[in-house]
Amino acid sequence: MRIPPSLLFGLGRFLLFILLEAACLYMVSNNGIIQRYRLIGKLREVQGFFWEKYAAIDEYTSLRQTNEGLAAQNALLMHQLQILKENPTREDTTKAPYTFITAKVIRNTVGSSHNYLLIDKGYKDGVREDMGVVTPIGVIGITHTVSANYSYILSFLNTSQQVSAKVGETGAFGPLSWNPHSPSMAILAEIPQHLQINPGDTVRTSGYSSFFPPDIPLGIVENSHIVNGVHLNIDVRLLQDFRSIKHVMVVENNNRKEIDLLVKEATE
Amino acid sequence: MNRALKYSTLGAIMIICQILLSEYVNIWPLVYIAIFPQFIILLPPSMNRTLYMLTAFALGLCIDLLSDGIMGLNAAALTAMAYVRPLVLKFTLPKGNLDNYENVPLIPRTVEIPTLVLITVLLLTVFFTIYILMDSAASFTLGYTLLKLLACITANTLVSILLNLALLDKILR
Repeated sequence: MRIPPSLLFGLGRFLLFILLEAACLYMVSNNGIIQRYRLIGKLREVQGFFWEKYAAIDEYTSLRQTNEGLAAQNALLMHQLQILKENPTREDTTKAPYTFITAKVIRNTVGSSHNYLLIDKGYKDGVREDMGVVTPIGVIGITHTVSANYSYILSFLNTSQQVSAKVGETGAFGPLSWNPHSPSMAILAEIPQHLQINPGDTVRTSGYSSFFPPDIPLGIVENSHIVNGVHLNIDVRLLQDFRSIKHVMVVENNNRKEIDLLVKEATE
Repeated sequence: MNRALKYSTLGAIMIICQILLSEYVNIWPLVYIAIFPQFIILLPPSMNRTLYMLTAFALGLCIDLLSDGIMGLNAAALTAMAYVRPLVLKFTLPKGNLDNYENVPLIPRTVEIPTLVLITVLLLTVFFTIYILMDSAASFTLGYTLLKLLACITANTLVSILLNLALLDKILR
């Protein structure tokens, strides 16, 4: 029996279609943002230059907002200083567990399910891969790819990102992940249901990961609901408005190597 | 101007416009404005179907490389749209005079506007269904996905009509 040529062509086109779709699926499942950054790293450096110029203009036009943010940050730091003065427990402040590298945000996306930021500090400034990025009122993400002058940050507004967080006075902790339906909401999961969680309670970093210091305020509890009859899932309104981030701090955990080595030895 | 050169120039302009749109226009988190599918919609039906699918894949990959988002997303959606286009045209273009459309771009000058809108809506539905499903695979909820699909198809159909009437109809004489 002879197969009609049109059927053969149709089958060929279908196979090509499947092949192309499979290639796309492979790229998507391997987090294509990073692949793209590596593929066109040089182009990104050039784009970074222009984004930096654009960010400078944007920064100038939003000076009022920046000043308000700095004033709020100043007030928070004054409050923390007052607490430290009243409780001088740490004798040697030069051995702080974390150091911070300040950086300017030159690119920031919030509109997709996989968002990222680009900052104007790279390995020349001491930034390395897998470092936490924060502001005084939120966790921003983790550095992923670092070039000489710029760093690419996987935003917290990413469906694959989670931060260990604790809630209110109870100190109950669980993974906090972004609610992809809104750039200002997150979900704190796996909180025991017998605990009293009230709307308005503050959610902070737990300090149980080596990326982020403890007690950075992240958000405010809006409401909670029981999941599978076992745990509470808490809707958290984030304090940090991701659409208006201008400056961030890259966190270097000075004990990271020691912690990682200890964990490695313990698990071997 | 040579036909191939004309379409290549139009494709390049659409890529640049799309990158600028992605960079500086963010209307609403639910709406993704994509003008480049319009390029695939308007290509003449006589074009080799394999080449047509490869063009869609390459165009999608270009957009993925140069704009925000996940690499492979636009390429997957545009390739699927290109694959089903001949079928959509077969059922939407007026029967009996299909040959009239073989070598012409699908723009208001050559196709009646209601037919063109129908073709656009059907093809954009394919494009955005693939795009949104792949983009939100890790956080799928039916209500949100349907809302986003509806918002994207409505907004992009309006953009497509405006683009056709204001520009493409005049450029592709």
